[in-house]
Amino acid sequence: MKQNVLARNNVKILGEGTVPMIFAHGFGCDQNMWRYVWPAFEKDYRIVLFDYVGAGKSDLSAYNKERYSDLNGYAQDVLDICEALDLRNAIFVGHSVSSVIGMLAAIKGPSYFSSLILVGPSPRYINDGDGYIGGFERSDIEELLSTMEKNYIGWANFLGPAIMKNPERPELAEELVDSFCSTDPVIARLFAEATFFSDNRNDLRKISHPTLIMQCSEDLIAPYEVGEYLHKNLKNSTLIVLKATGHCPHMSHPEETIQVISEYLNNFSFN
Amino acid sequence: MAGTQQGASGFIQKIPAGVISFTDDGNITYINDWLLKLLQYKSSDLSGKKIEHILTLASRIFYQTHLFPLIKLEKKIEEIFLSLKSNEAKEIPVLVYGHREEEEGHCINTCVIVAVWQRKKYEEELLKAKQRAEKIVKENTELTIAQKELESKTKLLDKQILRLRQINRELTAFNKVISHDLQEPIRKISLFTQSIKRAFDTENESVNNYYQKIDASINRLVLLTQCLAQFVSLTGNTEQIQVLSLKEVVMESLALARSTLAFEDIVAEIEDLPHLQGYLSQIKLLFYELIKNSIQYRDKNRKLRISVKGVISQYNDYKVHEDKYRYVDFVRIEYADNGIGFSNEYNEYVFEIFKRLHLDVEGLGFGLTICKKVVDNHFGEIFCHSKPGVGTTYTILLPVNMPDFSLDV
Repeated sequence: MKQNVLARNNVKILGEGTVPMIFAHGFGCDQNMWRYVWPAFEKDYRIVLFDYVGAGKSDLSAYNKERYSDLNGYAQDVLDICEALDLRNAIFVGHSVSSVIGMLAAIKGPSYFSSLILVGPSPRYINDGDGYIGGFERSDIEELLSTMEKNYIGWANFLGPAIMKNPERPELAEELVDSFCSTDPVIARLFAEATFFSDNRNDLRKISHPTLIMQCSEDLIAPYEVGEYLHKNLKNSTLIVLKATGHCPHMSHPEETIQVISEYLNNFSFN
Repeated sequence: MAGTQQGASGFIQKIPAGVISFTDDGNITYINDWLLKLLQYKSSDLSGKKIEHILTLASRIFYQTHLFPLIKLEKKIEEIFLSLKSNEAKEIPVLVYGHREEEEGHCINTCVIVAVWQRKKYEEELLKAKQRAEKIVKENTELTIAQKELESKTKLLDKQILRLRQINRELTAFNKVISHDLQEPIRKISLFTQSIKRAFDTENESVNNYYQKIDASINRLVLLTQCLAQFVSLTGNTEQIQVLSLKEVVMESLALARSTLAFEDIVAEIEDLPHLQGYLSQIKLLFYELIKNSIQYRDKNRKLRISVKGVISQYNDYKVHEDKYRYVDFVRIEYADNGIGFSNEYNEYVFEIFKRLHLDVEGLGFGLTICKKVVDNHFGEIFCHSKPGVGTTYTILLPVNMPDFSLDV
């Protein structure tokens, strides 16, 4: 089980510290997204990097449509890794949808985590009639799905949708894995649907872990109202608004990202 | 040289393709005339603006989740499809090629943009046709597979139900044996031992010692058969499922444990707990046994504390089929005490029937077996984590909605 999980999720363990720090990538990419950030913590922490099944260099044969159509399925990946590595009191750093995935994992296995650091989190992306502002209408998300589909058209036509289980042509799977950030179109679509159509507002009050909400300026995917909503509904949270703009501060502004995370961790004593 | 650059720059302004440069923050630093014209902007309109200003909402998400990470990490992008948004909010389908230059900490991303009006229509038709074809093929294959699966599963299910009925009949008979047939010889052994004792009243110490041992064994036998009867009766359960207020049930179990075990000295922290469907008497028994266990295996040097917490979280409803997933609501209960605890290597052992860890404490090793049985009856899970000298935490997963399930199929 242990070896399987580590290979399945392409788990990398680095760093010289003992306190575990898990970096979870968001939708659209893989663990490489963290490469400007984790080295700053390798002296003091035990760094755990991984790819969700379906992303990066994970084992595509482990992909299960039913499981990964639900963010709980992704949360199970995180829990499987925590169990395989026998982690306790880990710091979970999640970008974008991984913030929600991390919260779901923390509800199911509270003792694995000491705190959650959420980079550009959102519990629901679509506006709700009850006055909640997520930033999007359903039609926007449907247009995104179609944009994604068109970006796969070049090869989707001849590869077909069932690529990940194509034993006669293993080179296809390999080619996919090697082209950075690109996944099978079916997997990408299901991940996008699981991400952008999810509503996890009811889960927020179940979190008692200390959480850091890193809210970017001018982030259209997780607008400021969303960060404020999270801060109001997560009982033990700190809200920091970054100077960084956009949705990927760990890539566009790694220095500020590192500094904010370090300061938060320094104000904290972990045992 | 200057002239050449001037020439090159003029050339870039006029080539029939858009050229745009932007920083990692997305600030537009250069945009050529062709692109301005395509977007119906004047040069001054876009100065100081972000690249997102010229993208549709969906393309902005795609820019943040795919395009920017890609160009930053790979230093180039090729053949990316996006929709631009013109000054008059018109959507323009384009293909984007780009590269990134990094010099002394100064980074600039430059992209070439071509409109693909025709290609977009063509692709849309292709996509539609592909989706239609895929849908039909998928529905056909899925239907065939589903039919075959259903056929073989029905066959299997029929056999399984048959086997279950048989086991259930055996259990019912077994239960009768334990609760009646077995009691009779035990009662007789007890009775005749008493008669022998009276008939051959003796001062002989070793004989009296034997009598005592026989009595103790009879008592134990009675207790064990009672436990077994209870265990079996939990399987052939005929109770109705109802909506339970978990907190009320736990409070009742606590009161019952306090009175029947004559032990009042417990500090109990019971949080608000969700409602769920289940068998009332069994859930009550589950918490009664847990509390009883906490009392029996308490640390005599400190006041006994128990806590019960519960949240609703989604877990896979399928337990047998490894590749089937359906996430449904479960109550995740954490029951913790500050008892004497045990080493984690016994985490599974403690739930086995008549298995005991602390032989110095009175008990049969049956309480946690009942707990496991009740949880199993609800299609839930129970596991524990313990630390000697600190206490034990039981994590229990119970489905919020219980299928109406009876063995008398």
